[in-house]
Amino acid sequence: MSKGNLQTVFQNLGYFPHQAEFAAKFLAPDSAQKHLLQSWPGLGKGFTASAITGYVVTHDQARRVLVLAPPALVHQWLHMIRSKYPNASSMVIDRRRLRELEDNQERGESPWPTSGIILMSMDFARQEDVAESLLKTTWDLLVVDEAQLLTPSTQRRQVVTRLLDQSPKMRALFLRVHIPIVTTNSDVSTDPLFCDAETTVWSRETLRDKNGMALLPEVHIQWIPYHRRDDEVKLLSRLQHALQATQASDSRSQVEITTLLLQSASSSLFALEQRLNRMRRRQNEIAHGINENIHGVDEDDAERSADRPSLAQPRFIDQTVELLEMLDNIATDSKFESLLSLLDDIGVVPSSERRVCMFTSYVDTATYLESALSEYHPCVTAITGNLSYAERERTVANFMRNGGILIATLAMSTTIPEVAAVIFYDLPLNPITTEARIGQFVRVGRRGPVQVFAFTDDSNSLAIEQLQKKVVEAKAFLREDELQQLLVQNADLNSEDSLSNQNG
Amino acid sequence: MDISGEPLIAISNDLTSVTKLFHRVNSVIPDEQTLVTVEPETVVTDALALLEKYGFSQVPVVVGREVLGLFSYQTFSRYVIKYSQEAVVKSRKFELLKLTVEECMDPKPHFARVTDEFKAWFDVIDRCDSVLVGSPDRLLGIVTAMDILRYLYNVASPFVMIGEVELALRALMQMAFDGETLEACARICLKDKYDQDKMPTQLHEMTFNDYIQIVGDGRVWSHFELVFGGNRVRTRAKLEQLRDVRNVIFHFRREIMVEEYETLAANRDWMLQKVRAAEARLKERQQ
Repeated sequence: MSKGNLQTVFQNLGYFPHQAEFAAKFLAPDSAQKHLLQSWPGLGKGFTASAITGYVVTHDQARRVLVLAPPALVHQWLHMIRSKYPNASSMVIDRRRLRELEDNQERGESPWPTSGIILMSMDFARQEDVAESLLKTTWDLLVVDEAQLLTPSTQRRQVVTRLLDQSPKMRALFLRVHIPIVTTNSDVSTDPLFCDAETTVWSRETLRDKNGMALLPEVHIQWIPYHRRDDEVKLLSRLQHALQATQASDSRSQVEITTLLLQSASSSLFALEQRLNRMRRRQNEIAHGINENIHGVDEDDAERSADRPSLAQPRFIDQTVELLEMLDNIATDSKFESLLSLLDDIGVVPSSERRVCMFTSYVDTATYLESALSEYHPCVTAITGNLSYAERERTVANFMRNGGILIATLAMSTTIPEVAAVIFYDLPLNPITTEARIGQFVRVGRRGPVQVFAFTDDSNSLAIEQLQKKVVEAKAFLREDELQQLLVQNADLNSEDSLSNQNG
Repeated sequence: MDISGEPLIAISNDLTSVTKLFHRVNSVIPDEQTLVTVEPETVVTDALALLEKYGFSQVPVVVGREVLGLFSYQTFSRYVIKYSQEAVVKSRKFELLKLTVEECMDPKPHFARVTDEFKAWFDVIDRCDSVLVGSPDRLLGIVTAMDILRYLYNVASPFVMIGEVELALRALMQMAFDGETLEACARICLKDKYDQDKMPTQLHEMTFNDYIQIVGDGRVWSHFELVFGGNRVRTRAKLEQLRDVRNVIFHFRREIMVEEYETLAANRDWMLQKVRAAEARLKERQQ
């Protein structure tokens, strides 16, 4: 089929012009072997790539397809493929499933099915025995979602590089998040993994609909000032003092733990309380010799490592009892009260015409807000990374139908429906992360403008919030490349970025 | 893309393998398990050092992908006794340090399949401390008694904690007010949920959610302030977190996430603290 015809097919299936054009370009007979699609979040790169994947399998253009994605996105991929191409064979592989396949394999044969789409997390694929098994098989197409995670010297990148070397005829499609202020063209053009790929860039500035209108509306954050009460200020001051006093080392993990505690406190007192409770529990386990997490902990998971002891924590742990007692005596929540008046101003009603979405970095804050807001509003729901993909889909479908308030953690990968207003209950420290999150709801084909709100404490109780304000101010005055330089130089800010992505 | 040649085996389109629902050998093998093996010529001192290094009790003996046997502390001690007795009988010198694992291994280890019921292997594990999984030409894993214990603890501990939490919450409510007050509170807090004639008035008649509705209701909070502390909204949020995890567990919706387990455990500890404090206050009052 010619490129023009393919484009028409995809447009008739409901894909936007830029999506149909890319799918046609990839599937055209004279297409390059390797493609790199760089896109601003929310423009549908995963959606388009899943369509390509389903298409090649159902149209006999590929037999074995391997899709590598971050763990949180694997089931979303499965859902996207099955919703558009129910006849395309597809399977998510984890350790148990692989053992079953290996148990059934005939001697000398590959455990992998000879046709269909295999989906797995990048982190599973990089495990030595899994990588070896993948390398012994011939794949017709390799798709890597969030390919910006294939940073040099990582096992993720090694397995992808070896797969490409092993199968010179294999086609490849890499998807990368592309935000101009964090991604420079030189990243890609000099990278041996991508330099020979045909590169397509989707950006909010260049993409237009068929009428020449911008596909993504401009978004500006409106600050909502509030003032923390004396007992809250006293607690936060005590927390900062305790953390300063226990800074035994300036190790990265110590900085991360301190940042997480302060960010939890900035998010909500409930998030702080629960983090302190978990830290205390971990400390008790250590004290009683129960040093092993029965569920197993990913060593890369900074969020959970904060609840584990570090060199400095034993001294900090002594302070947690006092901090928890102080928390017990704080009956008010000034930030939440400010939220209530904002919601009154916005005029939340239980109707599909008037939906409001709230973002937070923390599951604890999300569940707290769901509980607290349900006393004032009839339709309040929360989706967090703890829910299964099916549960998230159900919750979002109810939200679409009934309206009200949806509270989501920032790391959520679910597509949020169109809303009247978006509230960031807490903002990521790095404004670039905020921009990326905004891409979650400002998606192609939606009407603008969208109202976006965030809170700012006039009492300046937390140093981390003052820093956040300064970064936002800097963003307004600096050029994008200058801001990027500033952020790259500031290791603390960048580490925060990676942390906040794991919380939900 | 060339797709000619191989026969097609379609991939089943079920979302996940249904067999995952059953507690079988495949479920017991830790996901993070790394198979460490030794070759038959390895001297026992090196093999023992390896066991100590990894904290293992046994290690498969392999050549290429073929499993020749299983070397363990148990097989080692058995063969040491055997060889030393033979040496005495034959008046020969017994050179322990020259032994290889091939001379001290179980040459016919048991192999379970991933689809086996793990209960079927209890006797073997009791005897040999472990069972290999797969087949002699394809080793897929190893299951030890500790793996089974950890797995069963993983499965059971959320149920146990939920039981503790529910009973503790009942106990705290009993401490907070007498039967008459409870009935009055229920009629206020649960009136939208039940008809008056069907209103549960005893704790054992109420659901966990009924408890939360009563404890978290601002109109009756004064009864609980002393027990739970100053913030009703945060208390209710914690109880609702517990309820949500409880529903996932008791209704078998899915496996709970690590974060949910940790939240459950932390909230259970918080509840324990509150019970201890309440009991101490009660004792003080009685004295």
